Amino acid sequence: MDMSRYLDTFLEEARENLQQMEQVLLSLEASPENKLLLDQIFRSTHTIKGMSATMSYNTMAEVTHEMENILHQLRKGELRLTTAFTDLLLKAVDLLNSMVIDIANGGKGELPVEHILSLLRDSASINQQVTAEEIMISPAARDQHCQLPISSINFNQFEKNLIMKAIDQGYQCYHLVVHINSSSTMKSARAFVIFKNLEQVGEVVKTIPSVQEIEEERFDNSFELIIISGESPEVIRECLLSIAEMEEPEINSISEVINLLPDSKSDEGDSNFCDLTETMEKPETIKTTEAIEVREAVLGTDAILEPTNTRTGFTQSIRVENSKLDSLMNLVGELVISKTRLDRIRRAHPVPELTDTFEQMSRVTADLQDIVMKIRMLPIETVFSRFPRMVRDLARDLDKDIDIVLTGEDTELDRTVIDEIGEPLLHLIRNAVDHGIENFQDRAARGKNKQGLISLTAKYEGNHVVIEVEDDGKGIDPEAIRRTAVKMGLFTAEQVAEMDAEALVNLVLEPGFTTAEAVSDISGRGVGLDVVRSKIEALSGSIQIQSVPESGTKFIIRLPLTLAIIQALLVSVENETYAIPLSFISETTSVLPHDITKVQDKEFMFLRGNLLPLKRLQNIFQVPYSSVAKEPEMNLVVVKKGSRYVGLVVDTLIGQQEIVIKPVSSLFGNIDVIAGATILGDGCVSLIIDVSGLL
Amino acid sequence: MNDVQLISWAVSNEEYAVEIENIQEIVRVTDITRMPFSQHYLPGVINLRGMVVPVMDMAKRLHLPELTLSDSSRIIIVARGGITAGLLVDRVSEVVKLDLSYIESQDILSSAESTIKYIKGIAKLGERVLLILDMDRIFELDDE
Repeated sequence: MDMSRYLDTFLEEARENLQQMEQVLLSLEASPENKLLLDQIFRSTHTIKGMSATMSYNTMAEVTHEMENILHQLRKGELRLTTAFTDLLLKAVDLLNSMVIDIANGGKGELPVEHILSLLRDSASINQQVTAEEIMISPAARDQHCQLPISSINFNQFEKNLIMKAIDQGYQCYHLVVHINSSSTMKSARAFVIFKNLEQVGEVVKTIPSVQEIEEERFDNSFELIIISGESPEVIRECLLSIAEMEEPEINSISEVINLLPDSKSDEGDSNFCDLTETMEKPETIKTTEAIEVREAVLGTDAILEPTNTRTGFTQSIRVENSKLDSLMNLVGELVISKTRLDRIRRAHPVPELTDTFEQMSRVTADLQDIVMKIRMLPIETVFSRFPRMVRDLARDLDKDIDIVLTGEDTELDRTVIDEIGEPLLHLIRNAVDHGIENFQDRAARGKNKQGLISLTAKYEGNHVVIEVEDDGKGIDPEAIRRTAVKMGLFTAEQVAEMDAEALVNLVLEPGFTTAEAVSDISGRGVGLDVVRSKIEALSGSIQIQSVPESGTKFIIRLPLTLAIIQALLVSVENETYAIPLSFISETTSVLPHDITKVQDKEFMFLRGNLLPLKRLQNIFQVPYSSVAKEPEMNLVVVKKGSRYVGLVVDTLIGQQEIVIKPVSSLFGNIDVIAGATILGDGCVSLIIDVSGLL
Repeated sequence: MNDVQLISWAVSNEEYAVEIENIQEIVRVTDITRMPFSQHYLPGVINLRGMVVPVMDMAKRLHLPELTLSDSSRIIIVARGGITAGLLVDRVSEVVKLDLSYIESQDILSSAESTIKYIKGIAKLGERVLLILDMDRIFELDDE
């Protein structure tokens, strides 16, 4: 069979599993007793083994097989996880990674493995036979262990996941065959009662034939049900037998779902379905230890991963090209614009039916939009997860002891940002390990904890995500930077004399501040930091450094969520309309001219006792005066950024609306008070105010 | 087969041309939303079927007397080097097909002319003179 078409899927899933293995191994090192983690890693290993065997990458299968042996013994408690084991397993993961790269480059993954194999074998030599027998049953052999399938049920992914999740959570899953007395004249009514009664003891996952067919009485005397319940088979039996005209049901408990590898390819068009075969002896008896084996239809679909994923609590995924998501996003954007237009028409021509339809459409559009936004977002965990391993290895090489603490890994960012942010972060963390955190002696001399600490934090702030990379190392000495900047001829002595410590520290982000002399002089910082900065700025983000000499450095990266559709308040000044993102608005209010105080040409007012600086949008945007009549009372939009508040004076508050952010052309250069543009319901373009640029 | 196709247009009674492969479409003048803090020759943006496109006032860009909008005014949508922009002109004349040999280098223009850097060639059509714009230069920001 030609497996080459599954290559991409194989590669992606192998990478995913390897990454997961590495991650779990590291967590396992911290809590070696955690059996769940062991289970997870065992499953990943098993998956890779199966996949590589199917794809005939035998070397890879061999390595994973040996790893599995060790893991199996660890699971059974026959071995104890030591750092040596972790190292060995990590090495094996590295080797597997190299093989994956080799395969991706057209090779067969045939790398020299003898050394690692012997190491793995030595470690696993205890109880070798037992383990081998238990887990090394080949797919074919396993199939022979199954008895003849009595019924074959097609489960879709959702149903399958539901079943496995339920079993994981300690619920029972039953396969029922209910028989209605053949003399019954109201079979569909009986079926209805069956459903109703069963709903009281559990949840019906699936019926064969479908519920609709059953309701339409398109079945003979019996039909099948899959039900999840917390009750015992007896309870379910009684519940069924309480119904008139019911005969003895067949109840089989499904207590285990075994993920079998394909030994043959079934219809690949059906990749979302898997065959379910039950092993049963006598259908009439109630059994509780039956196993249902879900056989994966085809390698090369996500189906093969899903069972493991569900059990380990990892998010399930399908892979979609970014370009498809982008067009989906654009289409939804267009839809939102049309919706806004329709809203205007509806207001102009009030027809009740139109209003109803519009409201319905609004809700659907809002949901659609919400989902599209969510689809594009990925947790930053996908980026963060590789750093613990890197820090561990790097610290070891440098003979340092460094812990890395991750916070806010579930913070979600647009996938385009996720794809790009890894590299700059890697750079910052490597810098922190290499140059930021001191060696043991220096730390001891400064009275610091022997173990260095790097914290990597992600959090939301308005329409931004803030990522902080902080170390408790030696910090950056502003004086050293001052000297270097002058020595390198980047600034004059007068210029640097005027700079405060923070401005000086941030000079290391300047291009050109990266030569070798500078590095040694300023505690090793500055290596390619301008590259980091330009990368982040290319993502419309910003980076800033806070550093306290002797006690540490913090890099603060702000990134836009790139939410393409946001809630905004539309305001007008003369005959121009502007949009202010709602996330920056703290309140709207009004002010009379005599309540405005002038201090040195700047306007202020008191808002609930606090001094609030005012800015007139008309002045900021140089809006030409028009003949529009104005009230003396002025409308005020109070915007905030961090702890700073400013009152923006506008002519009219038009209202709140969702807007689709469109970029303004690069032709304009950088206009920092404009965040983008949007198209309003009447087809006009309105500019979106960048509040952070205003403050 | 050394032909080039140009679209000729006029602003302040001077005739210019842009190679046709740079031109996406030609639209009537719609509402232009003013863009604050932009170069004086970039008055603002328009909505081109859901896309926000900047408009360049060619009279200002080429230091010519100010144009007055009329029925014949058009916006030529030009896409070049990843940038899409609309050129606001007095009128669009025609499509001109020319043999390359008709195009002379801009060197014959007096180099004192401040706009010479935007011109990449000159085409003579009998009595008419078409100045062929260099769109790359036109799209460069300048800080005058």
